[in-house]
Amino acid sequence: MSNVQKQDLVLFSDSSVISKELCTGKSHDLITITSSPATSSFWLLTTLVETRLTGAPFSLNSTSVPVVTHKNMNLITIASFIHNAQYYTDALNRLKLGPESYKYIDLLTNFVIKNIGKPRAKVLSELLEKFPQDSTSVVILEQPEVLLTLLDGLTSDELHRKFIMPLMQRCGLLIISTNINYSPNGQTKDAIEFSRFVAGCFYKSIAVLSLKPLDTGRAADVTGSFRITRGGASNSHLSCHVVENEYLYLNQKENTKLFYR
Amino acid sequence: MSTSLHNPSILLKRVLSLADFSPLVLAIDSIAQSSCKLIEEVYYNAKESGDFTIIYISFETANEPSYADIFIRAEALSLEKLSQTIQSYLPPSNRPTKSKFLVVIDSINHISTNHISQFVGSIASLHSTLLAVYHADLPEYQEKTLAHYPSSIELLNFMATTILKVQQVTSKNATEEEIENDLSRFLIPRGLNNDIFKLTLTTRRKSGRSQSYSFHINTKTHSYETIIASSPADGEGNENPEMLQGLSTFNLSTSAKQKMAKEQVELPFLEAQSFNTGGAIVYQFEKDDDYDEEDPFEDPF
Amino acid sequence: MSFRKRGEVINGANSGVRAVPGRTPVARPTIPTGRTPTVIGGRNPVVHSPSTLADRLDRVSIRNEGKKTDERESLDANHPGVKPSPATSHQTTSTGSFHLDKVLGHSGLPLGNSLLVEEQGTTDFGSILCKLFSSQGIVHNRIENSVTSGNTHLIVLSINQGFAKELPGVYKGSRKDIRKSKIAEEEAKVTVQNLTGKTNAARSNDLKIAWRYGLGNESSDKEGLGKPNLNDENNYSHQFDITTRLMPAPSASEITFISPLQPVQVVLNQVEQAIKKQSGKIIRIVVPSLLHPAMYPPSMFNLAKIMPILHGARSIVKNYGSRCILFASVSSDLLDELLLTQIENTFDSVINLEPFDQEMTQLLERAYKSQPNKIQHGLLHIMKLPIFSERGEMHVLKSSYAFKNGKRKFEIEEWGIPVDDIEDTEKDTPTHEHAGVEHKTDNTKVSVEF
Repeated sequence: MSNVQKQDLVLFSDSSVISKELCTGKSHDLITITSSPATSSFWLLTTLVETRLTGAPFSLNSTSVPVVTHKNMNLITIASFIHNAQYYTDALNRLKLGPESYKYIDLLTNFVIKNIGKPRAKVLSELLEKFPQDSTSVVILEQPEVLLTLLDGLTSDELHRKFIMPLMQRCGLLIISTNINYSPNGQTKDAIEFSRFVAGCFYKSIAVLSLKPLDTGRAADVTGSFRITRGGASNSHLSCHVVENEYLYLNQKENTKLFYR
Repeated sequence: MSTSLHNPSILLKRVLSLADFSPLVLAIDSIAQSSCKLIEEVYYNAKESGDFTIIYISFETANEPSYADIFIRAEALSLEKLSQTIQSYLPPSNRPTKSKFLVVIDSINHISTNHISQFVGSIASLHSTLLAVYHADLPEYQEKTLAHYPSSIELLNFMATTILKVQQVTSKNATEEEIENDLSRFLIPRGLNNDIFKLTLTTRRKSGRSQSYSFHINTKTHSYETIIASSPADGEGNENPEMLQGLSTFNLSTSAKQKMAKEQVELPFLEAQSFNTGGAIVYQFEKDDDYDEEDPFEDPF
Repeated sequence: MSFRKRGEVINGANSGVRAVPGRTPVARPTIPTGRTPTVIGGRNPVVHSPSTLADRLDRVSIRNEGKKTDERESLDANHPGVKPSPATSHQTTSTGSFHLDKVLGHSGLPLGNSLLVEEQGTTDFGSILCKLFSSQGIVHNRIENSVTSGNTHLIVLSINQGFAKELPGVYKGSRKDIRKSKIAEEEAKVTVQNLTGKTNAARSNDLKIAWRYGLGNESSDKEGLGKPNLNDENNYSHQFDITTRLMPAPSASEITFISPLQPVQVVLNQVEQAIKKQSGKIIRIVVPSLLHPAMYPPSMFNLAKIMPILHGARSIVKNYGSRCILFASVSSDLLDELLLTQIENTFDSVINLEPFDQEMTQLLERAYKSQPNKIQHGLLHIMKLPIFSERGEMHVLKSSYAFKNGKRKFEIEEWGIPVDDIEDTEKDTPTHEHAGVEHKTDNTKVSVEF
């Protein structure tokens, strides 16, 4: 694969990853990232954080990294249900992004101890309060579907209506990373709630990014495919559009490279 | 009037501009082609034809559409509250007004099956049209207590006076089957949610009888093209029994039964033909492979 | 590839402290991150200049200072059961099975990570791995240390109190070996007594044998001062004999039982209290036979019942990431797809055991007629590997490995379908011989029946 031309990551037609037209304070948009347990989206999330803070995914395109000068914590907020602060701090430090340049909300550590037994609506509204009210900011939310397993009786609709939608309203761009590790055709109530949750995210999204392993299984020189497609939401408020694309990517030793398929 | 009903394009134009009275317009979409483009098209037609107040009820739209006169965020409202809020904007039924109202619901899936008919009844009236979007691919859990009650889509289909079904136009490099296959794995194929899509229009007359037409809609140029359903005879045009008459003393035509049998034959390697990308031989040694490096004639590749 | 050499690289800025490889356990770096698996600089020291590395370490430590409490960080620097992963330099401890350690890609399970062993069918290989994992912890704990009485604590999330009595003992070799080792032990004792005047080399030579069998540790502690590497290597991972029992059985000071059937907050609080009480020790949390219907009532199979426990457990393991690991086994056939995938989602690494069915076993029996100890018991599928999978690398590897469980070893080797040729097997084709990860040499051992 070494002779194959490396590609730069582009999501929008203005050759950007996070377009300038997003997060202007006038619109609220959603990008959904789906990943499988075999192809974790963590590298993509850190890349997006980097893009937001430095302007471009330098580590991915392996051009020289400019020094981050601003200290605005509201530029990007990261919230994760499966990783704690340390994990992100370590990974972002490696990209020379210090903890003062972003806000981290730890939804893993002691989440259960603090929240189980409370009414669902209260848990969700308290969660919401943790996020800054700033319609120019970006929020990355990792695996919110975990809530469906933790809060007894929570339905996908309730999660969307009481958490995802209000959170979209609070920020300029919400990026949800969700793990697709179940088949969409499950017939049990829980399985339906999970599928419904993802479908609900798709309808709200302007773009959907999917990471999945190759159908042929493991390969030494390809980790998986990375597909960028339009979502169900209207993008008529933007002058740029989502550039649909499919890359092959190789994630190795904390480095990721993109190739055209 | 009756002539226009038989011209599908004119009929579509009338439907999109809401010229005819139709209390419940149901838009059925899926993630392959969401109906936001259709709603924009309805707005484009309706604003030309007259004075409309558009009330947009949002369950999943975060950005207020530019065409919405009134934008209601429904996600935090209970159903009762939502009904009341909508009612407060609609004119009272006993005092007709000149202006017409269009109520758009971006996803009626959020209203539970047991409330849906009551809710629709409360909004759709003489002066207001309810344009409800239903996502066909959003799975729904049927409560045990409603085991014998019709599902939401069945109810809506039954009540709707106009049904607009939105479908993607398959591009050249993806077959319908591949798209289905991808979508069934939560994977969105490329080239969907386009400006050009397929629309199947079903209108109901007062008697309840329905007519159905298909169109290709281009929302960029606002042009509509009727898809003329090819009759079954045309489909098999290349085999016309009359053409074969008199050519030979043999019976060259196939009977319907034979045709059936022919169609059912599964060609070998159909699977293999579905590969659209080039293949490559990937060989890796396994423990039981007996490969002698010094033997020049033994080349595993 | 010694632990010490790596240690120096890792610590970069403050290598001065680590250079004397901490025979004195107080001589730990005071900056907590010096020891935590945040070895950013250590892995690619060329990329970052030393100053930026130091800066970063400082910054991290500042951030941590307020939050991190002593009991979370103060893992004894000389823990014999911990060494850096050869792949990522994360601090890693053994699972009690040498081959499983290898398959995980880090020579063990990195601290702060969790492993789920799924098993198809009705066999119970998973719980053997559980017991090996537990025994390994207890054995680590019993390695005499100059300062503390113990270095490892086991937390078992199970209602089966008998678990402690079922743990296998350390393998002492074949009967011949045992006799030898007894002699070696005697010799070791003699050398201890006649210490003065003997050369270091001779002493360590004798001890090498003793260490290998996990014996004579009393002396090794005092003796080993000059040879820490040897000590570490040999105590890192042990071999167990599943037909024997760990003697004496683990006491309450070594093992804590917590019933997972209590309300979730109670369970999690008890786990956390136990961890806090055992400060400075490696905490091994074991969940044997998670959601086994004999132990868990039907209500526990609700997502909202079981997932909070696992999410909470993940939170604790990550929070005490410098000294805590989690191991669970589960029978995957009993769980529906969604529940299983959600459980998998809370673990950092997942492997799946698929025992062979009758037909396959018969085929193997035919093929390995003359070498019954070669018969594998099933396939091992890798679903997720610690650290790598989380970063985004793809590590699903199905039907690539086969496992077999013997009296003294849980072996994992590359899988290849044997040639079912009766004549051939008599001669034992060399293709089988060279490819396996490790073959036993004495054919007299018969694998334990399942």
